[in-house]
Formats: sequence, structure tokens, C-alpha cells
Amino acid sequence: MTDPQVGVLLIGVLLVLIALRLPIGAALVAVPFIGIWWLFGWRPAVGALKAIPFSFAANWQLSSVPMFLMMGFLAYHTGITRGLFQAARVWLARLPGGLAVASIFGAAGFASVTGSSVACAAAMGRIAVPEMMRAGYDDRLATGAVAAAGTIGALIPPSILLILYGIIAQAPISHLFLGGVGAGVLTAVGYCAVVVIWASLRPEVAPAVAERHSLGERLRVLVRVTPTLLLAILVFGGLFAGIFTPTEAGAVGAVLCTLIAAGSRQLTWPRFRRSLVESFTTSAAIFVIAIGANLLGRFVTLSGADDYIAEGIAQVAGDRALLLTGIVLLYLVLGMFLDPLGAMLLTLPILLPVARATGMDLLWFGVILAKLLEIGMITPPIGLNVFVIKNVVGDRIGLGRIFQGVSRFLIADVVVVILLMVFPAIVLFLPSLSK
Amino acid sequence: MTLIRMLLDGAARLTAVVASLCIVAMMIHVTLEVVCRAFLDLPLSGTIIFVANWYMVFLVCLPLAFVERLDGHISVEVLTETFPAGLRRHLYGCTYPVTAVIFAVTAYATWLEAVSKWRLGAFIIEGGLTIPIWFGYFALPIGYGLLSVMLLLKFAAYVAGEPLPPLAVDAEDDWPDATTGGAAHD
Repeated sequence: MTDPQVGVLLIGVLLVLIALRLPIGAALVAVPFIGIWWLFGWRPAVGALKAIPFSFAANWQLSSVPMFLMMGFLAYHTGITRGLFQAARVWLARLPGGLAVASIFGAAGFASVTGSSVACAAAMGRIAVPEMMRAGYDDRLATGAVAAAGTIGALIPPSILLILYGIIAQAPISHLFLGGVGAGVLTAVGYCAVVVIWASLRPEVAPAVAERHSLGERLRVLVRVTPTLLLAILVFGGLFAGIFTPTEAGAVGAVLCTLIAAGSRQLTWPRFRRSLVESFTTSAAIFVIAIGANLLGRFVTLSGADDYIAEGIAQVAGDRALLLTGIVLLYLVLGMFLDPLGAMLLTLPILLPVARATGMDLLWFGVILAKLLEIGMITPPIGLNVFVIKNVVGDRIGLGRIFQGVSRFLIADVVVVILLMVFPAIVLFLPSLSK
Repeated sequence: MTLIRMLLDGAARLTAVVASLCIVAMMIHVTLEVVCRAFLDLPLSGTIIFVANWYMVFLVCLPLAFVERLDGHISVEVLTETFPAGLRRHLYGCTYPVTAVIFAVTAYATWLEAVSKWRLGAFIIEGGLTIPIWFGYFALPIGYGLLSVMLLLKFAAYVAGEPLPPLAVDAEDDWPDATTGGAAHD
């Protein structure tokens, strides 16, 4: 058996182990270790395991992950972003399906302080879904809009997915964040279009809201969300202007978030402690997998399996469009069954060489990847955002109804993915301005 | 068994405290550096070294056993959920010793590295500041070692027919209608 064949065989073993519910991080350490041991001996295998975990964990760029997580969890647990939905509601309530449109705007606003689509869906879900149900909205529209809108959380910066992608692909994180803005805004517009079309064709799903607001009231609600807007402007303004690194942006954001929550009397010790615990447990769970993915990358390169797979793919799908379609389908399927971070870290060591070999722009590829993986957050059987919304609504609305609601938004997702592929400038325009 | 569980839970909680302190220290240290650099033109030497080699390694590697006690490590259950309940229980039980061995080997390898760095007294010099970094290497064998022992404890609990329930992280005092926001997913 040749070295590349050993590599491919062990990648198959890796998938079997993961399917049998071995923790992804453990499988990702075991398989490359055994592979290097098999091909090169015990000492190089132990050598890889000695050096890689520390060098990967002790990484300045990766330190932005716990900082952005802390900022997002603090914003979530202290509820300092609650005003976003109310502000969007006052301005947009008169549109067809106005409350649902407002929930999408609210999610896009919350996305600017969190990198997690689950947190984004949960935050909007517990505010917007009860309001929509009270207004007589169809339960599929109310829940589907919020579950889908949550996915914007991982596209609009900060995005934990894009940070990890940037480090593995060696693409600048601030440029990826700017690319994510284009994809996130387009997604939000697409979801709003779904709501407006749905509510216009079937007005009974979203009864018109009778409320009227004076200009003064409209301006007052904007004042209420000023701290959140300022937080996002300071953190990302500083990052995109080149004043901050991503870690500095995250740390400053977390400190500002703490101060805003304290100033608005929302900061309590249990909330702060819970934010801390969720930040470090999430970081640690990510890093176990990321360290394994790094080892896998090393093994795939050493065994020559990357070239072997790239050649194989090139033979099967020599045409770039066909290859892209294959990658899209692969991630859509993976997203249905795997956690987005797990799916990305598992596949990048294998697919990045293919993307590089075919001359794809790695910034664009990373944003497309994040978008595809986020679609997996709302597709059955493992649509995590749908489960979060189900958790919010309890027994009142069945899981099937939420998935039915989400299915309309998946149409918008397909259109968005096609647009991102046909017009890469949607992703690449903003990063090109900062080059 | 109860005593071992209490000791391990205590150790896991201690690592959680250290990890929490590292997050707070990182937030404050990096923000201070930004403020000093931007407003006082006085950058704090060695911030990158402190963040990467001190805070980060303790924050992400030390609390691995605590994460395991919360069932927080990411795994895929799509296929195994279709298995009969009995088979599933035994399969999950069998993953504990396999995972424990994998992380014990990782702990062993990172221990070798930590000892060699300790003997060298590894340090980095930046801006005239000598920053020792050897002790950060010990976060890995401690974190992975504790994780491995925690997995063995879970295996023992499975064999005894008394699986360990995940540790509860209190959700009190969250704002109204709070659901989970803590997700290791993305």
C-alpha cells in the first residue's frame, strides 16, 4: 500500500470513528497519530503530538476566539441587545410581515456582537417569537424567520467560523470579516424578501399591526440601542481601520460590553460567571478539535494524500464549476449531520489543497463555506437553530411546523449561494477596499 | 468511587476557576495595552507573549475535564441515535476507555515536551523583558491527563450501571425567558 493510499484509508477510518460517536477531537488526534506512526515510526508520531498542541494553543490570533465569545455571551446573558428588536419593530412594523422583518433586522444587529448563530437565534427567539405569536402570526412564519435569521450570526462579524478558517487557511481575519458582511447582509435581505412575499401572498399569516409611531418615538428607540451600535462601530471600526488586531477588538468589545451592562444595571455576578464559563468551555471544546485538525493536516501532507485526493477530484470534476457544485453539495450534506465547526475543521485539511490547486480565492471560499455550513443549522435532521427555537416555544409549536417555516427561507439561501458564486464581488468588494 | 468523583470534580472546578481568571486577565491586559498604546503612546511590552503563552494555553487546555463533565465535547450522534437503546448505551460506554487512552497518550507526549522546556527554563525576551514560558507547557499534560482520568471515571460509572449526570451550571438570574445560549457549535 502506498503512503497516499494509507492516508486515504485512515481518513475513511476517521469518518467511521466519528460516526460511532467518538468525540471528534479524540478521533482527530488518534488517526493522524496512528498514521504517522505507521508511515514514519513511533518517534515522529510522538514528536508531532509533543509540538503541535502547544504551538497551536499558544497562538495570538486564536486568542480572539475566547474574547469574541465573551463579548457575545455577555451581550446575550445581560440582555443589553434587547432593544434591537423593539427599534426595528417601530421602524418596520407596517411592512407586510413587519414583525418578522424586524426580527431579521434584530438578528443582524445582534450578529454584530456575537459570533454564534445559536446564540443569535436564541436571543431573538425569546423576544420576537412571543411578540409575533401575540400579534396572531402564523407559527411557521414566526419561528422559521427567527431560526433562519440566527444564521446571520456566523456571517456578520465577529464570526468564530471565519476566525478559525482564517487561521487554518492563513487568510487575513479582518478581510474575511469584511467578506462576511457582504454575505450576511445579502442573506438578511433575502430572508426579508421571503417574509414580505409570503405575507403579501398570504396576508392571513401575518396580520397587519395597528401600531403607529411618531417620528419622536422612532428616534427615541434609536437612542435606546445607541450603546449596542456604538459597541459594534468602535470594535469593528477599529478592526477594519487597522487600529486593532482581532484579539484587541474582541477584548475591547468584551470590556465595553461589561461596562454597558454594568451601566444599565444588567450585570450581575451569576450572569458574568455564566458568560465566563460558556466562553472557556466553548473555546476549549473548539480547540480540542482544532488541534486535532492541525495534526490531520500534517498527516495528510506527510502521506501525500492531499495531492492524491486533489488529483482524483480533478479527474472526476475537472471543470471548476462542477468541482464547486460538488463542494457545495458536500457541505450541504455535511451541514445536515455535523456541527458546523466540526464539519469545517474536519474537511479543511483535505479540501484546502484542492481549493488552492484550482486557484480559488481563499477569502471567497471561506465565506461561501461559512454560508453553506450555516444552512446546515436550519436543515433537518440536526438543525441546531430549529432546536433552539423549539426550546423557546416549548410544547406550543411542533418541530415539524418550525422546519416547515424554515423551508421557505432555504429557498432564499439557495439564491444567496448562487449569487455569491456567480458574483464573487459581493464577498470580495469590501475586503478589496482595505487592501 | 464517590470520593474519587468528588476529588476529580473538585480538580475540574479548580481548572474552571483558573480558566475564568485567564479570560478576565486577557480582557483587561489587552484592553490596557490598547489604551496605553493609543492614548499614552506607551505600548505594554510582551502583551502578545503573555496572551499566547500564559492566558491562552491555560484557558483552552486546562479545563478539558470540566468540559467533559458538562458533556461539552463535540461528537456526532446522527447514526448512533438510530441504534437500539441498549446497543447505544454500551457503545457510548465503550468510547470512554478508547478516548481515555487517546488523551492519555497526548498527555504523555505533551508531558515530555513540558519537562524538556522546564529543564531548559524556556523564556522569550521582548522589549527588554524576559518572560518565562516553560510553565505554560504544563497546562497541556495536566488538562489532557485530567480529561483522561475523568473519562475513566465515566467508564467506571457506566460499568457500575450508574452513569454520571452532567455537572449543572446554574442558570439563575438570567433575564426573563432565558434559554440556552451556550453553544460550542459556531
